[in-house]
Amino acid sequence: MAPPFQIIHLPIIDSTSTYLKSMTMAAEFTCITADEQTAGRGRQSNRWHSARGEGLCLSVLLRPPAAATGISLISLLAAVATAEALGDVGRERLTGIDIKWPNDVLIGERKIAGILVETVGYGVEERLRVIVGIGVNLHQTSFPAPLAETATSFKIETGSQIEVTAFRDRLLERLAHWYGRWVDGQMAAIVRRWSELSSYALGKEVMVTLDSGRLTGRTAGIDEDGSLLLLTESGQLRRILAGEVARLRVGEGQR
Amino acid sequence: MPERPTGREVERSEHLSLGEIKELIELVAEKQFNEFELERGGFRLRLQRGGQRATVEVQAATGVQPVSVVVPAPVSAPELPVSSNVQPTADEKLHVITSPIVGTFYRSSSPTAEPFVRIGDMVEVGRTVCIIEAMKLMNEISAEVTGTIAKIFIENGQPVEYGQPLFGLKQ
Repeated sequence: MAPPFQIIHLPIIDSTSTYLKSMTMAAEFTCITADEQTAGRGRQSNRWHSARGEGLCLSVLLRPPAAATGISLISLLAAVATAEALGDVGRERLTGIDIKWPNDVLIGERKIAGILVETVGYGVEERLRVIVGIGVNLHQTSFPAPLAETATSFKIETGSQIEVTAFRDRLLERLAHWYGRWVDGQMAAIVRRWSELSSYALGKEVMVTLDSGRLTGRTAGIDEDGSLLLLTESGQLRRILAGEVARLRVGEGQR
Repeated sequence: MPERPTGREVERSEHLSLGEIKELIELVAEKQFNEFELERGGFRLRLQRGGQRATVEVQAATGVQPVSVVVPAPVSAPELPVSSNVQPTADEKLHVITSPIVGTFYRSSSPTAEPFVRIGDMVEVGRTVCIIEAMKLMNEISAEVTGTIAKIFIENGQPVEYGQPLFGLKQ
């Protein structure tokens, strides 16, 4: 930890991000953590499963100027911070860390951390309230059926227990580091680090589900704003700003 | 209640009131003219009837944007739907909320949730009107002024560019 993080811990809450969003006067670097979330949120209507004491539920408030460019890159730098924290904590080395665009942190192909960033204040405030919500699976030994194939935890991967507070502090330290670089305008450095950590940055065969349909193609890098460049099967270069990315498996995409 | 520009907005053309235009349309209908033209005080009003629809054009000779009104036949119909087709003079009166970022426009917080706002809704400063998503960053866009939602320029799930109009608010 470095900046003046102020941490408020709650035993149980609907969602740490919803709670932090309601604190309209909160200072930058205010954090909410919880042992249990009853209504953790993901993109669109996705839910984030977080039972009592099994993981880290953390929301952090950042307050960049509304006029700042590259706000969306905060979404990617949060994943970089989480991946780095996971890769450098405890005695057990966690290997196979990956980031799926834009900010799912994976071990192999299973998700260990989910991130949802929300901004409030566009149109009415000089400084935005950016709420970075991070959920990390730490102690789970198994997941219920629908998640079993797609989720994992630190415990499952390493067989060992991680100390939540130590991990939280390591994560906040990494987040402060990358946010500091963002404030300094070092967008290229963030994109570069993201690309080092992600197998999805370049040359990955993927299917992207957009609101308007599906695209398949090969990833061709990350733009400075964090958008994903996709070289489609028809040879077009497309910029993806929003959508679900999935690794293309053999036999898929022939339609 | 759906938004309807009032006669006062049409009167921005200063020399012809909505009432007068109505009267003229009724006159044209009554006399069965196919075309009617009136010039007064630097403005030209042209009424033309043809096929299914009759067109009313008010043109400012001074270079002010023309007001054009489409009147469905029969021309003599007493309730003129002038309001819904006054372009673009009425829009100039609206406060336009534009997109502060590039992304995807969403009218609700999730596919199953109710829209944040609908046409005719009264909104106060700070009220969330939509979300624009970019890189899984959900940006809540707030109304900068108090007013009534008169126009929604973008459909749910569509991409938006920086500065693109999203909503028109009548203050």
